[in-house]
Amino acid sequence: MTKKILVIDDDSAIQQVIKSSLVPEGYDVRTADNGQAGLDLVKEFQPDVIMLDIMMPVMGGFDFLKQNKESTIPVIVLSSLGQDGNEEKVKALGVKYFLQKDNIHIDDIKKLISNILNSAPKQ
Amino acid sequence: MDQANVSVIFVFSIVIIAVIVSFCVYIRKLRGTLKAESEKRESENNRRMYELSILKEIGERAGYSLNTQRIADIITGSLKELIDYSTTSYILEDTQKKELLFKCEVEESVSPKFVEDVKGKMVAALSVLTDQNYQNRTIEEVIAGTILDDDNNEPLSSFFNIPLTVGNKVVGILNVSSTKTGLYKEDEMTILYKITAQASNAVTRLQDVLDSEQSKLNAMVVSMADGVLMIDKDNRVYVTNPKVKDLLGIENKETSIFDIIEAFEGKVDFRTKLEECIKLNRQEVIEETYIQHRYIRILFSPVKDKNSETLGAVIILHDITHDKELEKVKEDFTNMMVHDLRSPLNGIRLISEMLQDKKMPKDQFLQSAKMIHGSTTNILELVNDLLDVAKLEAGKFIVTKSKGDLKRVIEERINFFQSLASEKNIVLNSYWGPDIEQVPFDEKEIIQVLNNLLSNAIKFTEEKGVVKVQTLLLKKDEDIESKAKQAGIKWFISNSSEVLQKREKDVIICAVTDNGSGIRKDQIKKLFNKFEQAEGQKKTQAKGTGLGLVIAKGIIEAHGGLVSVESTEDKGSTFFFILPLE
Repeated sequence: MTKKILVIDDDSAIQQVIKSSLVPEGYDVRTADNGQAGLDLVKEFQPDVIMLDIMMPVMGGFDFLKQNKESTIPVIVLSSLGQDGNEEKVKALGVKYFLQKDNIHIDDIKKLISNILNSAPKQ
Repeated sequence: MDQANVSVIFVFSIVIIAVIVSFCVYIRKLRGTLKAESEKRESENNRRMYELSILKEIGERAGYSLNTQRIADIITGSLKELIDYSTTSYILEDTQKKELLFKCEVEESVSPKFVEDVKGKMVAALSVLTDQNYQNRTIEEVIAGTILDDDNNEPLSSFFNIPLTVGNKVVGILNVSSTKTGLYKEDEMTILYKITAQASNAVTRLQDVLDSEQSKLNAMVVSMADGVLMIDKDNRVYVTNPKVKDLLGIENKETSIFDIIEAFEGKVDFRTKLEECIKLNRQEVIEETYIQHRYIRILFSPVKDKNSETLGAVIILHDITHDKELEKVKEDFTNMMVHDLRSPLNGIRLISEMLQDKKMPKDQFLQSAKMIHGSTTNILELVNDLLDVAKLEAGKFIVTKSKGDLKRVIEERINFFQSLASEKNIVLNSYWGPDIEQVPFDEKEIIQVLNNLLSNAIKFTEEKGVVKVQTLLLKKDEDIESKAKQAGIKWFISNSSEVLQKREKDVIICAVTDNGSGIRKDQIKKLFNKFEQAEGQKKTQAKGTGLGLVIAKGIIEAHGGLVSVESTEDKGSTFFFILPLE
């Protein structure tokens, strides 16, 4: 079955980069511009993995995580925020995967997603 | 000689003798009286001289002292030559410690009961005179002079009390007591009364001078924006101002050291810092503590008298909440800018990674190129805005004004934004007043202002809204409301607008009005502030640098004009600027 990825990021370049690198791998990718739009798509689209930005208008990543607490969908936080302590804050909200946008490469993202999806059924 | 003559002579002689004798007796008597009188006068003189010398001494030794205890010491110590007594004592109230000080100088050995009785009489007198109950007050006792004799049974037989006053206030009692009965008459009391009156006058005069100085100082301390406290070596609070109570949330009328320590409980070891400051005679600082929802910096400075002896410490409580907030806002702004610069750069970096894949289909390749273009445009826009703001802040922003056709410039802008407006089905139009003369302005910069105002208006207006640009000429003596009425247009800025009140010349006024969501009152004044704007932007759906209004304000002000906004929540906003015609 096709695995579904939801990308929540206000930066269209990031949305497109992730989309165009994951679609050829056989994923179904949808994008949302902010946390609020993301929450709506979580219900409608029912993704297998969520990729989440932190600093976004209307609703940021932290608020999204708080509102989406009940969900068991694995979340990868992609942050370019230069503040210390974000990783801790995000992990305190139950997120296992935290990536700094400055350090990531497309291959890393692909690898991480396939790892998450392969380990999920065993749980 | 006959018998009769003899007897006459005899009688006469006897009479003469008697007269002589009685004269002698009289003379002697007279002499005695005179001697007694001169002796009495001499002693009177002596006493008066002594009285004067005591007064002089008090004047010299105590005249410049406000230490009532010292004055009482001098007075009671000076009475020996003047009055016969067993003990002299004084009792004073220590208002700081809220206790009484009783000192008894024992001249002739008396029993402890005698001293107790004296003390009892003085406390009773003080209670009556001050209308306070001192019976249960702690009394610190000092008994000096001759050793008390337990076996002495002589009772307290005569005594008198004289109140010691400063101003109109009774501050203590002086007492002279004796084991002899009926010893003190008006005379003795008059002497002591005169002395104490003299001393009290001197103190009162000095106190008045000090009070007037003190009241100046107090007025200063009270009005200080910082909390100010002075605490002496014995932990007594000497000076405090209302701000202290305010900052520490103290509700008691009088602030005591306990209130202060309690307020800092668990946050700052106030006592140790205070002790260190006094003991080590150096300044101590607590950089930051959070009390009563405020950040406070505490500074302890030792206070010394003119002999370099440490008296205590002055503690200043400085509210740094606003500084902290400002710091936070600045930090947020920097983070925001860093984020906004980094995001598109990361996008470009990842896209270029993707482009290295040679198998990429052509349409995706073109899309990638478009994304790179979009991202670089965003970065460029932000960098330019930041540079503009930096220039504006440094006062290096120069506008080159020349008389031009503002009407054409506005119409061009309307055309430029038409496509963006029609995407949201927004009606975009303009009105140009009938009598407008040519205005001096910098075309390039005013275009930027209009771009900012128009793109904001369209951004914050819902589908099918209306955005209009209205321009009117406003002479110095005209009012804008009737001017708009004359022109027959719907107008949104009132005569009372601060910016219009401030104008000094004939101006043109250009207003961009939308019927969007409007702006909350508390947000309005933040709009034109660089840092606040950054904060506000997170919560809105606005994209862009968030510096547009800051730059617009700078540009208009560089033209000698003013920018402002009037807004009603849920009804819409009018951003407007005025440009002087000269």
